[in-house]
Amino acid sequence: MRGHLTDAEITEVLNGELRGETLAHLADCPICRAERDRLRATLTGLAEGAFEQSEREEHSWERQRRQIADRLISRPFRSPSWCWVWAPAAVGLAVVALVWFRWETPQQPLGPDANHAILTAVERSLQANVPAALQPVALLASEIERGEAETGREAGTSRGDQL
Amino acid sequence: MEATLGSIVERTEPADDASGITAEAFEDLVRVHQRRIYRILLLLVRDADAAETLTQDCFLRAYAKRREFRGEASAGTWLVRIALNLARDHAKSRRLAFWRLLARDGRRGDPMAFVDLSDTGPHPLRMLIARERLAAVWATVDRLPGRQRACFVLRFVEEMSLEHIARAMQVEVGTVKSHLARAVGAVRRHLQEWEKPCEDI
Repeated sequence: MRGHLTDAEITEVLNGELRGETLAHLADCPICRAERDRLRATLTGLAEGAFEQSEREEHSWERQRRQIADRLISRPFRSPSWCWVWAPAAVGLAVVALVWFRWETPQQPLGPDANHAILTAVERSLQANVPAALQPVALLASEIERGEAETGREAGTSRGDQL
Repeated sequence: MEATLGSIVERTEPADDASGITAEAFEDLVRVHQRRIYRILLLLVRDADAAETLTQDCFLRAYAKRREFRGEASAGTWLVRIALNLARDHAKSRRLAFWRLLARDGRRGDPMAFVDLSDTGPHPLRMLIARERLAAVWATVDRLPGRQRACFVLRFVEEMSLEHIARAMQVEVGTVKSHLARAVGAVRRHLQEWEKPCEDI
């Protein structure tokens, strides 16, 4: 034999969700029936009391509507306008686009003149004050410069031959 | 001429606003639901002044958030959801609950408010005991955790369906059932305790 109805089961009964097993138990058990009836009576009493307590004169409700209207005037409750939502988003997009554009702009490849200028500058600086430890670098720089000069000369010669 | 709520809404609302809530509709919304919202808030916060203010807040918030109302739930359920949030925020801000209980004056917000000594029905003593019992049950309901209390009030006072309560509280129906079972369990135990001394007498 099963025990009395649990809280969940008796709540189901109060909610009108009757299941076969619960119904069968209620039919057999006078204690649970009394419990159900007592709870029903209590809940009905609570609801009636709540309605009674919250009821007011019609002028109170009118006053409440007027007060809502007054508060609406004094501090209009408006949803944020969409333009205020979109304005920061548009600024953000513009910044992102600017950064992207700058990032994507291809770097200009250094031409022979630029290389030459850099090497000359390096050589000059090395010749001006070359510590002993950097002597090999100075030699390397002069070698590169010489190589560049020879390549340029050969290119000029071949162009002359073609002509 | 006194301004009506509808005329105020018309004045504060741009003509091209497509909120879907007209001035008349908002006024009707307040008129139809103000009693119920006030009652729910009164039962949840147990303070008439706070319930009055929160009821006004509820409609002002509904007006401010009118674009969020998509119509999935009824306007009533949507308002109840706003009211529940307001009651929860109110409870959070009210840290000194103990002092509030001590300072309760007279009938206002008192669970014993249901006890009307001037009521002279056919069986005054029996009526008095019944009312005292109800007042004590309310005291038990007051001590329930917020969500259980909200479920209890919405189901057994407002007689909302479990689905509507779930929608208003933004929880599953199973959660509502669970809260209700606990709340009913607390009331049940309270009634059993109440019966004991009566039986002893």
